[in-house]
Amino acid sequence: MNGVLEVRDLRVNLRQTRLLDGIDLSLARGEAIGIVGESGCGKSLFALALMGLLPPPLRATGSVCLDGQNLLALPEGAMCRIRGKRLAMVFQEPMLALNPVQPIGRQVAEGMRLHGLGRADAEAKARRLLNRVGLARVRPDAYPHTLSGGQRQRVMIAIALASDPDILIADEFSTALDMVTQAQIIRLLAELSAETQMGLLLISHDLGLVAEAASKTLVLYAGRPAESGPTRQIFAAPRHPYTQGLLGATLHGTDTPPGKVLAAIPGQVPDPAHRPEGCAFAPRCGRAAPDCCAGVPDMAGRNANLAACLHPLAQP
Amino acid sequence: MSLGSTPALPRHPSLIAGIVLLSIVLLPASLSVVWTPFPTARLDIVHRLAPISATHPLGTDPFGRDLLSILMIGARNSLSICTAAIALGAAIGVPVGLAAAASPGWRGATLMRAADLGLAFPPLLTASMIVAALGAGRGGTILAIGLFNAPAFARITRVEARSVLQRDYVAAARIAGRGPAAILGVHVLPNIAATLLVQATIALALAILAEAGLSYLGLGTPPPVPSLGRALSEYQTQIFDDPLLVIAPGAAIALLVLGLNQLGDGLRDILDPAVAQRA
Amino acid sequence: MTEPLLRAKNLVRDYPQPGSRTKRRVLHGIDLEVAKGECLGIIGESGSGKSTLARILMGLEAPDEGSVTFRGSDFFGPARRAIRPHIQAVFQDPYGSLDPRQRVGAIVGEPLIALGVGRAARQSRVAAALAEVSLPAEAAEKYPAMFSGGQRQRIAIARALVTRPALVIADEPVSALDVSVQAQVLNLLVDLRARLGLACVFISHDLAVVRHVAQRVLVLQAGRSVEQGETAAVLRNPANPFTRSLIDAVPKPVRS
Repeated sequence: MNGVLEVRDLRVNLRQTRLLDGIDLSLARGEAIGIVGESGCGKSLFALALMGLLPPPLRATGSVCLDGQNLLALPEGAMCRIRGKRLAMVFQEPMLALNPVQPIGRQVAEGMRLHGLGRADAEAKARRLLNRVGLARVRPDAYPHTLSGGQRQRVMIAIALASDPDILIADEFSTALDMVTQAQIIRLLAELSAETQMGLLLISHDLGLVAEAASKTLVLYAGRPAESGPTRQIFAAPRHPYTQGLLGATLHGTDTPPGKVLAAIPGQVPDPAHRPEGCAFAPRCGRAAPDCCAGVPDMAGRNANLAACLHPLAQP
Repeated sequence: MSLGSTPALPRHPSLIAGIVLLSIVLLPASLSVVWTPFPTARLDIVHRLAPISATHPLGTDPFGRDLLSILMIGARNSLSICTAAIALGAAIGVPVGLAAAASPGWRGATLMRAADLGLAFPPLLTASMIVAALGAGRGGTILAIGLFNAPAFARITRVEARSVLQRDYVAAARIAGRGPAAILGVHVLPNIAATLLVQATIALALAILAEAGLSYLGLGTPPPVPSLGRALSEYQTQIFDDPLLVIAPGAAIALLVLGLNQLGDGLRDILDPAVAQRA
Repeated sequence: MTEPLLRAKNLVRDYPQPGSRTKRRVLHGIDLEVAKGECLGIIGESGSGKSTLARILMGLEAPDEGSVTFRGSDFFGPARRAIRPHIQAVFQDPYGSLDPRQRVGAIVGEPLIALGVGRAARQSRVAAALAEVSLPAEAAEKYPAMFSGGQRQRIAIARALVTRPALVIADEPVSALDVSVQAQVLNLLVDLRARLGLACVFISHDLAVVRHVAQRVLVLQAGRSVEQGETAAVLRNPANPFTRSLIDAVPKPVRS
């Protein structure tokens, strides 16, 4: 399988603790994959590991191949040329990621200038990008604080797009936004991905939101993959009990009638330093059997839908 | 995202350094409450300007008094005077700051302008005025240094208190029916105590310097009570004959100030992240 | 026609603008009612004035014009202290709404202090409130730092219940929580309403959540109430285009 991005057995360690334990992912051009999980599942670490931005005590092992080249093996200088140019990222808090003392046009153009474009060209392209992300009525010399949260997020997307990246990673981009803006941003990202054949990684805690744009979804739990497969299939017939629990608790993207008791998963996500033996979800799982505590289950299954479960839910 | 429930404890070089440096001076100073190698009141001209020896680890001064004993008592005096002064400054400044934080609009602003007025007076002149009025001595020094510190405490208390007053748990306390005094005492003060403690430590360091300066000018502790600052002024003429007489008190002051600064930094490192950390 | 539990009439609120003489109007005359045992959902995006409305209903700020009455008495008038225990609140941020320096028992029991309830009685009522939110009595001895976001929100709910209020104002109570934890807290709120007959004003930006818990809904846009009515009816047939855009923004159910 040859996607533009191939991740094999990615692990992130903090000294003795394994924070992220064996993630596999294959992203093709123009494809959008959703990475979903709750607090402590490691999805933000995943994004940082791909970008080579893990803070020093954390180390990543495994392989992250962009068009065949393993990014984890690259020295920082080479990684800098790739970061921002071929691999771009949009963050959660646009106000913190934008420079408050620079006009937005200049911030969009800056990346391009760094990668060699001349000043006039960069400014023209910046103007075009701002239009493309829906900011046609905002002047390029506006400062970030005069814009709303949704507009700032669009500026972040414009900055990310400035260098025509191969892959855009959106990390919890929607949390600080209103529902209407969230929906607009998701649609924008999906359109851009289709237009430019850019690969899209949508990282969120909101399964329903991600389902709007992602054709495939990877569900993470406590640093390990729980289930992956086509989004529709996961919604229709989840195989991993955690996914089922998550769907039962989610109001977005599901048909839950008002007032119905939501399927709340008892207990809490374990601390990575204190994961239970065997399957990390077993203590909270209604289907747990003795062999679930024996060893960590591998991702297994027929066709495209894989689940890390020894006793997955039956397929209809 | 927690990175493990027991993160490797960050090293605290500042805190350790501070404690070590302070102990060098603090331990003998505390000891001087019950015992010093030699009494400092008695003159012993026969042994004047003695060099370092087993009986006199730091030698003697022009009047034959044991330098080590003088420094022990002098350090103790400095610390006790300055601690009292900082306590006075906090006792005045913190309530003013709390009142200013809790009073919106012009009332709070007026209180802060009054505090600023205190800052406008040059400390040395204020000290001189107080000493001229009350006479040199512990009381005058404590008053002078305390009054000088009060506005700084008022300002920092107000800033910190205002930030705490914006928190949801204060709103919850208002909804619970708590009065403003109860909110300040139960919710605001405990949550700003850490910052005030750090402020007090740093202020103490500056107070030590201030007291030494006042004593050097003759405005602080009068003779015959030993004092670090006055020792500097008394012995400065001996600087070429017996430099230890000047170096030793100066080093004691430096150690106190440096130790307190490091302690303050170390406390800030420990206390601030703990306050900001989530479960 | 029974008197509604809470009635707000023509609420207007202005904020001063720095660097300008004129004030900014944040609420343009809001009317709303909450009946006994009913949950009213208030839907608004950021900048809609929902936080200001929440603060007024909680009694933290007085409106510049208009009135809020509880069982007929003016909430901002002389009856204020008597009304206080009957209207309690839950906030959005589980990490900011509990005093980190106080034990859970003191936090949950705080509303009882102003009522003059004695220490022993406070302890037993705190234990009862913690049981209502499925937390063990031992939790009262611990500090908030030892609890997760969802547990803290439950502690906040226990605090809101301890005076046995008739009405709870909840400002985005689940927005800061993980999905599965949101479910626990939402289930708890629905259950409390059923068991205790608790009325509720549930403020949120998330229509899906409001649809789940509220019988009636008020849509807030730029400080104005643009639509109000029974939740099912409003969502089936929104009269206002803004309401329609909110409905469209909810992620659609994924069909296989």
